[in-house]
Amino acid sequence: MFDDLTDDELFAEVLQRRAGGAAVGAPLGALCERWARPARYVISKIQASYGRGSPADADELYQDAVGKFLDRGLDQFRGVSEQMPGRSASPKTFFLRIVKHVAIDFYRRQREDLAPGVSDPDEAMEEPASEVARAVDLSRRREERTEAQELYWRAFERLQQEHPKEAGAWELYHHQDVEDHEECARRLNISVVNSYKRVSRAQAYLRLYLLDLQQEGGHE
Amino acid sequence: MVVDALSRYQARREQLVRGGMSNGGSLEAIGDVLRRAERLGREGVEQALRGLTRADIDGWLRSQKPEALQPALLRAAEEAAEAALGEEGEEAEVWRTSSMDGLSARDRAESAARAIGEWESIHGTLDGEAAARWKAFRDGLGRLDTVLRPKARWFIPLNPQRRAERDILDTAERTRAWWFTERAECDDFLAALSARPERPSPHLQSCGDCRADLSNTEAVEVPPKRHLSADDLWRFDMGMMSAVELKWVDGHTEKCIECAQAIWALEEGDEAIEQAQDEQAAPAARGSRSMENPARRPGAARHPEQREVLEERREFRVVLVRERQRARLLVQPLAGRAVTAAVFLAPGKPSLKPQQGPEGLQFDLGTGGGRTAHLMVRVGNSEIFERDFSF
Repeated sequence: MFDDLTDDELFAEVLQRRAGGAAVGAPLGALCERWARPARYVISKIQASYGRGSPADADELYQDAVGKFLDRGLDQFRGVSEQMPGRSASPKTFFLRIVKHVAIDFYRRQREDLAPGVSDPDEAMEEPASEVARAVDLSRRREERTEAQELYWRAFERLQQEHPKEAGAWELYHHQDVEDHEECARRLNISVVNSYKRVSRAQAYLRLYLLDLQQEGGHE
Repeated sequence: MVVDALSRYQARREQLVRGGMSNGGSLEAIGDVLRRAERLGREGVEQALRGLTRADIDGWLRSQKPEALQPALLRAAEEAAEAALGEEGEEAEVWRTSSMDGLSARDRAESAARAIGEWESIHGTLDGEAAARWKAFRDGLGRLDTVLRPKARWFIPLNPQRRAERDILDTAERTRAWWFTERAECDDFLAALSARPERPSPHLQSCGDCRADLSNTEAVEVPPKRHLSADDLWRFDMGMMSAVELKWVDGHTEKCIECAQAIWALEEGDEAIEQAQDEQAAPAARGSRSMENPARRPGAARHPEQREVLEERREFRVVLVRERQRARLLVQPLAGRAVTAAVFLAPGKPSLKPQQGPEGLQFDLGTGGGRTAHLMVRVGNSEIFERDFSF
């Protein structure tokens, strides 16, 4: 149906239909189908980079990337093209960038999920029950750790809103690994004493916010 | 002029005896005295209660909104923290006074409620809409306390003043009056908020609330490091990061193998995109230039090589491969473990870029031997192995 259109013409058709509120599934599907082979090639390179992955993963990642391109990519592409000409050369390149990021994000998350739980397969064969219990325990602990980290970051967001100077010093000292008050003071253009004070106040507020959040969670 | 708490309530009682207060003022003063009767006696209370009619009580209840106390108390909590953690001196005193006003507002509402209860014991219970309003008032205070009582730790900076108030309340009143009594002995918690002491004070050792609060906030003592998020990676890739952010990325990826690997993956993805574009630009060449990785093509030229196992562990093996003039290091994952690695040829310089190959991670050490390098291998999310090696 769209065979006689170039990629750019087909993409223009997608944008035009979208602007008019019409369904874009058919032209976008045709476009993504044309890009499926290079997309799978990009995915295979990311898989090689992470040393894992399967053809089934590749299908899933490709579908995910198409979904992201449809959800946000079309608008993002327009924004990037207008604000940073040259960064996105063509819709195809932009789509392949999305593919690349979807794949990298997937394998980064997979590493986080799998690493602590993977064990010697021989042991798993010998002691399946204990392995299951261990897996359940690890999963629970991972969930708790994730939850604790989420709460921490929410507490930090509140610190940023309510005490931005303290949050800035904390961010530099702890999150950005500076861990040196002289360097913090230099970067923030404040005295070393003030760097100490800000980081120390930040810690106190973070504790209070964290406790509030934990209790609010308990009431929900 | 600073007036001690007892003198202040004695003055309230005298004012009550003299009469002439508004209905609301009378209710609060009656309750203030009743809740401190062990110290103040009950002089003037009954007379004042008999002077209040059913309409007076109903009129006062109509004007009450207990929920309005919530923002006042939340503000008071922030002010108390500011008194302790902000600038010292006069400014701290201003915060302390303002915060104490918030707690006093909650206490006055409690006094009025106590006075209405006492009024009912003389005049009989309220009925109809007045009874509903009276119930709504008490329920409102209950909801307020449910939300705010767990935040009592915020008021620890006011403890000297709170203890003074607590100590003149009748014993039976103290449990309800959390705003003056809860965590009123936890002064040591304040110092521990900013820096947990190496040797906890006797209070911190024995107080369950303080111990729980400190234990529940241990995450703050070892804050999670910031890593490159998916959004960071996107902005990095699209050239949208500021110079400061880019500097952070450079510094971070020198220490964090996983984020460095994400940056390498971006580069490898870019190479793949370029190859895919070339493929489209020169379809005729497809037959001779496949998108397959040339390094993995079967039959790729191989050269005689020498292999030396530098380290063999359950999770990985490190092999130094010397091939003609070149040397490379292989880090081979074993037993299905997720392994990342970095090789540093000089301190402070970024790691060599690893290539993922059929045998595992591979680092090209270049030509010319007689050098040393530092290897870091990370297994899963936590175990880290490090060693120097020569090649």
